[in-house]
Amino acid sequence: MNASSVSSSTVYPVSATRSLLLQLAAGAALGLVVLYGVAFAESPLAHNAAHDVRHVTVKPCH
Amino acid sequence: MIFQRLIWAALAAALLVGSVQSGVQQWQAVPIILAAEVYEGQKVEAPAAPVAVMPHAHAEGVAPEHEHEHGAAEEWAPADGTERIFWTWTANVLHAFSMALLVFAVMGVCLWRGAAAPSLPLGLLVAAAGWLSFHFWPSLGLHPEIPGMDAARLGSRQGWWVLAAGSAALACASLAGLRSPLRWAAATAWLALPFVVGAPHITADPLAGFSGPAQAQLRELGAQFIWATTWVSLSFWASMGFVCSAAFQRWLRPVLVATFDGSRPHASAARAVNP
Repeated sequence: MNASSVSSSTVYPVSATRSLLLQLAAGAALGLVVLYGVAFAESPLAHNAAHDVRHVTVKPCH
Repeated sequence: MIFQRLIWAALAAALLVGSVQSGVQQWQAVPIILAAEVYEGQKVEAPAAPVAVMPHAHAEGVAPEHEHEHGAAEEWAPADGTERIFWTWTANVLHAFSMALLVFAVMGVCLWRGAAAPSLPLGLLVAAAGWLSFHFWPSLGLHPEIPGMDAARLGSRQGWWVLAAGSAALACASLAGLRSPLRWAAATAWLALPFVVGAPHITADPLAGFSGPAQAQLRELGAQFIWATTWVSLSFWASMGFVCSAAFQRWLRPVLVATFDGSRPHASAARAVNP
């Protein structure tokens, strides 16, 4: 297992780069999900908890 | 795996930026919201039934367009004071967390595309693009609102907000990423798109439900709120730029550069040996 991952990243640095880019993209996707929850989710709980932040960050609110 | 570092770095940045942001908000914006909510309680909703005292009256009566009453009995809402400040802080940290993840991703892609800039100018530039995309451009079409104002349907405003933010982000990406001289035209076209579509607005006065003196007060509060949100957003993105630059430089850049340079992917080799 170890040997294979070492050799693959040594022989194909491109795949290591691709892996990093995918992880950055996954982070960005998580960021968008969290943004949705804070700023857009219509659940009254989410809305009421984040109410002031929605107003101040100029998200459409009620 | 850089993902774990990404999460921790974003969390660290979010705690710092979100806390600063909460302080600035309490000082600049929250007093305006609280003042507007005093009037919100006096709002006359069209020819609606008298304010419900019975617990179920509003469920059967005239269904309000938007179910947003801070005092509504069935829905939990944080109590004014410490509880509300705590939830606002939590929401601020989560909001900063989401933005930090996006900032790191964009900075990482810039490095991958060969940007040689040090982390600080790069981070400040990305933060400036964030301010333009997530605050300024959407706010030009949908002005900051204080509680109590009537507005177009929520879903259509949210859709337009996403369109404006996405278009402005694509405009920035076009400028940064395209080499052709046409990139200026592309950026202009993206910036224009949401305004060609047009932000959803109602034709009636957003403050029609209020009496004369209350309307005047709310107009004044609304004008103050526009400035307050401007300062709050500028301080948010400025601190985001500085904090994310430092976190990126400390925790993310070394791993990214080592891999992108491609010569010696020792970061992944070290991880394979040391689980």
